[in-house]
Amino acid sequence: MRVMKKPPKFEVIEGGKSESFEDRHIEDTTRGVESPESDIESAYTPEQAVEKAHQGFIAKHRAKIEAVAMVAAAAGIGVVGGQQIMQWLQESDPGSMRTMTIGAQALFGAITMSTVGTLSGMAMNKIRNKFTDRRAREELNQKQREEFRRNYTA
Amino acid sequence: MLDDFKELFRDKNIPEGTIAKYADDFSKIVLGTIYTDMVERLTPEEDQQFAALLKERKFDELTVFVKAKYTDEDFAKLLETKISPIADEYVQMMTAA
Repeated sequence: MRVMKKPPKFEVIEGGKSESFEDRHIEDTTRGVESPESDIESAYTPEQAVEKAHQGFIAKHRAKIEAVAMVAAAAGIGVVGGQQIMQWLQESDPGSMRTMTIGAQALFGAITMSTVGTLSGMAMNKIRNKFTDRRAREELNQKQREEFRRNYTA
Repeated sequence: MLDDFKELFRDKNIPEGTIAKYADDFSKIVLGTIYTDMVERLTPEEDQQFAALLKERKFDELTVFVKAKYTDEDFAKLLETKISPIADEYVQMMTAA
């Protein structure tokens, strides 16, 4: 009786087939991992797949919340709560400096927005003053011309 | 809520400690989403009050705080339009994983 040779339990995918990051990543993660169906979807164990999906979800929504918190801070509303939200979210990914950077940007944004407001006000005043000065000079010039005409052209 | 959450990971061989961490992360996203909707309704003092409750993780008081900022109708709308889609997305991602 012939005995069928059992298929190998572990599969190692040979490298060098593709240069894409995705392919290299899949090759790395499948080394030494049981591969029941030997297709790409089986590259992750169920725990790894869940972890990856969870992290993807958190990253996607965290970025959105951070962006809104940043805008809220720049607008001068929700500054304290926004910072706390960002700090709190950072606990989901303590290794990342991204949240802290965005927090700093939010503070900077709040300062910049108020500075821009002040500068705009100052700039408007200067323009208004210049306009008023010019009009005053023109009126003065007009008066001087009229006076000159009255005195010397009669 | 944690029981519903655990149900998502049934048959996926996920340790309970990890599921608790997932539940914690998920609640951060939900509360963050609520905050971003609520922020324009807050005075600076209320904003500080919200941050303090969040820092101390007083979730029951946070719920009362949030509900006080909305009418029943508005709060139901917030849940329907902002929170339910996020929860649905999470369930879909986790059951597909």
